[in-house]
Amino acid sequence: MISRSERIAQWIVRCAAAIAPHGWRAEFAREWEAELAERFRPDVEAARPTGAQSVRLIYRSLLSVVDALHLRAQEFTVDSLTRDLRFAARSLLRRPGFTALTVATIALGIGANTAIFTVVNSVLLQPLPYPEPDELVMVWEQDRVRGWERVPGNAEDYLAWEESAESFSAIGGVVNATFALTGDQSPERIPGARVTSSLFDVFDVAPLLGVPFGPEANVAGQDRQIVLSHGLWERRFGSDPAVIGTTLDLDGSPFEVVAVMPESFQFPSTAQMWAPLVFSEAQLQDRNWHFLLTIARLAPGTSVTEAQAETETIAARLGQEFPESNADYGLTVMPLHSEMTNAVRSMLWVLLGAVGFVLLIACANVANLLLVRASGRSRELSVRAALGAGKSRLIRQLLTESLLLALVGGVLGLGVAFVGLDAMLALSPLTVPGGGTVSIDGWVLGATAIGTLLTGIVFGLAPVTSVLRTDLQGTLREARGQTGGGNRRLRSGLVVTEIALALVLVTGAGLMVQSVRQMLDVDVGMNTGDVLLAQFSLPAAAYPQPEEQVLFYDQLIETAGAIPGVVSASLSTIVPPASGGQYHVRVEGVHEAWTMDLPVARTRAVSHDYLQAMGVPLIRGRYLEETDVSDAPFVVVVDQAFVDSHFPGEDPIGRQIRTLLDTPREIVGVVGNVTNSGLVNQAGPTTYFPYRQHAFGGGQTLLLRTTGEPELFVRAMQEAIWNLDPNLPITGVGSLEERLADSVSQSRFNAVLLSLFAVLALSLASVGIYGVMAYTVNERTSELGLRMALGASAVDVRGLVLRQAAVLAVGGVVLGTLASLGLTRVIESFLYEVEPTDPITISVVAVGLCGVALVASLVPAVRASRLDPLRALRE
Amino acid sequence: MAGIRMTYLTGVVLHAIACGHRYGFDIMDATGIPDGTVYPALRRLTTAGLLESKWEDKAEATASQRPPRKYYRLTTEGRDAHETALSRFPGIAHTFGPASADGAAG
Repeated sequence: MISRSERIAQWIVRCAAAIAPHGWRAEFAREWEAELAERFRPDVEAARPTGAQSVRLIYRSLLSVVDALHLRAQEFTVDSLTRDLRFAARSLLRRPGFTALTVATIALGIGANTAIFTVVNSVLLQPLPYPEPDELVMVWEQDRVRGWERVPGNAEDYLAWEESAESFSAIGGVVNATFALTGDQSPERIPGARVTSSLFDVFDVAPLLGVPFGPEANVAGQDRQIVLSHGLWERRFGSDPAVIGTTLDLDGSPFEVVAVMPESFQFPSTAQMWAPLVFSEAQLQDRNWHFLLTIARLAPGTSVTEAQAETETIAARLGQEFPESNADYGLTVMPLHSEMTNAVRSMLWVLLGAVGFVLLIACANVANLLLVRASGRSRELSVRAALGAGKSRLIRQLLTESLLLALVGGVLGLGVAFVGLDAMLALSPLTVPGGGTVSIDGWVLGATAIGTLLTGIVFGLAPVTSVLRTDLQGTLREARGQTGGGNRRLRSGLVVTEIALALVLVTGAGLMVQSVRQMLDVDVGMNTGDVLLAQFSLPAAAYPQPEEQVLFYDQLIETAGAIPGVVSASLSTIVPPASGGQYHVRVEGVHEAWTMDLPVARTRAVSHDYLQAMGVPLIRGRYLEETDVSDAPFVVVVDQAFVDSHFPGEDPIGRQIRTLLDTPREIVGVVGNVTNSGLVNQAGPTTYFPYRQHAFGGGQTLLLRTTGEPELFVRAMQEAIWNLDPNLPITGVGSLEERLADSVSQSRFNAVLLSLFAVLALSLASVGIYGVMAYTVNERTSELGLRMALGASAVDVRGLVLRQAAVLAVGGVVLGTLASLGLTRVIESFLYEVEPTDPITISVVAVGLCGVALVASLVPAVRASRLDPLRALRE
Repeated sequence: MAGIRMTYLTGVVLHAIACGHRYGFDIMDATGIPDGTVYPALRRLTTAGLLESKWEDKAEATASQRPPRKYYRLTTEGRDAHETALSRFPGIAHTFGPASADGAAG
């Protein structure tokens, strides 16, 4: 009698035999069954086996699985693999058209994914190039009343954190600054920063040369030291080590070069030199003066959450001690890496998602192509099965083919990625935190390899399932290979999915493109054509008195205005799309005293003819005039937005406001709004006053309205400036239109990339539709022939095919529309004046995609209608 | 020793067969080698030409009231390999004794 445990053991051995290679199976089963019978039957005959014996029997039988797996593994020798590969290659080369199409599809899918993943990897996934990068955090104040998450610190608070926060092993402060570097070469404005000496401890980066300044330099009078970035040292000083100890002329004062930092030290990301930060008396006394970026290194073993908890208690204590300034302020601790990548993070994930869709579509397409091919080969497969190849052998062969396709596609895809990445970086304003470069590294290669492998397996599975379902012997008996309805349904399903995915991408891209168009269509509020810009900043050391600055500005406007071809020359402290220059405003009769709650307005000091020259329309009163000088009554021109906020329904002309320096100014004119803070932000209240009544020592922009291409006047403009002051650095030279276009470059870049992916998706999907329809027509040749023989016209047959395509297209479009209604919300924050569910975009895309689907099936439809009924029936 | 690395495990399996333990479970029991490695070792050694296998005569098996066993035996190369194994791992010689009369038959 056979016991139950022995029956289980036999069943296990039989399963193991199924795993064992085909040729081994019989022998394998016989040997194992003999062993089990031999060992246990005698005991069993005596009595029923004990529990222990049963367990041992089953355990032993399980060893047969190990044996079977071992035999299976042995089969995959290098020899057999080479044989399989060679066979696969021959079989693929017999169909060059199919192979080229498939490989190209995979290469595009993999290439696009590799390129985007490279960017994601370099920008988001790679740690910052500093020791223990996870310990680096930014510390922000948090204005709870206004809901501002990230407010720079003030000097006193910073000192309090430095003294009491135990969560930080080091803490440093940074203020962005630019320095005018003059001397032997052409004068240059160099972006840099004023920093506390502790910043170098926070980053814990050893200098390349010299020693950075210490805390003694953060004291007035001791601060004439400068640390150079690696890039500046290379470019401006030819990597000369002797630069240490030399003196540079910065903003008219001598600074000693004390150190050069290595390439990896890049904070803030644009800084090329670092000078000691000295808190002014005013900064130390005013807790409402928020200007300091604070970077800290967490003490070893301290988490961001712990640091956050500690800083909150410090903020609460400061709030109690200084209720006037600190009561409404909290503190936020954020990892530095995420702070540095905030701006691009979500868009990069969106792009990666989009490109993932492209890969899915490519996979669906390739799966479809392989399915069509597998059905075409069912006779070949049946013959091979009849000659002794087991299903597993055939499956292995099919998988080898698809993996080979994926491999070649993957390698080509890497090429696509290299080219695409170059093109993308040429187009894109992306920067890598810590100054690294976007490049293909081991991680990317690994991800591509895994992607390729998965792709090969995923689309390789489709024909395999089709083989598994096919009755190979039955196929052989038939005159013509026919595949079951299941296979057709699978292919139709794939096409519907492709159309749906493509629709989501095209909708997303359509929304982004429309959004960029809206941004570029924004009415800036001034005449932006043919204007050349240049920025400069008079150094306080060379022009200490306001009168000297005014004199320089007057002379510059005169000489620049005299350049032949220049219609007008004017000056403004800030020109769109730049923002900033916000100051508190007191309206006489409304606000009695200076408080922190006063409204703010954008404040620009301009030359008297700036507004006319730029075509800003006058709405009421008058423009600024040449007679508005320092000993005339102080005047100001405000924009409509200012009037709307402060004098709704009133005539503002003649009213007085006070802003900078508390000087009362009379409103003499109202002009149109100008977008002053990026193109996409609404115009805020803005005031314009003549520089002759308050000269700023800071940055100025010279604007030349030219007759013809503004770029042609660059040289003449530089000469006009350098004739007045050969040491004055000039930056930001270019046309105003160029600058406005640049301000939307990130959005445009995103839109271009998304559109590219959408076009790719659309092309792949149409190839998919074409493939399926062409195959269907081929498969239904005899049926269509019969119909035509029975009197169906060419139009009827065409209609029949097109109707079938239309069903697939509509299915995909409905599915895709539903998906995009949900998914376009992801890009909502990148859209400007376009709803993520914009009905026009969605319907245009849906109709367009249906059109593409019908066009793609037109060729097979026409071919079907031209069938010769007699020949079709004979086949 | 075509393509086989002489390990302690290989040596033990060869020695067991040389001592007359000639089929899978017998070798497993005699050597006490961790379960799951004996069969793969037998397959490997057979593929490498150190072992050959032969099915037991059916009549013989029926007489003993069991299915025929698959016997393994050392080839000439197998015997050389056994020598090598013994010289490299002398301890093997003392790990287990000769097979019972039943196992040593044939």
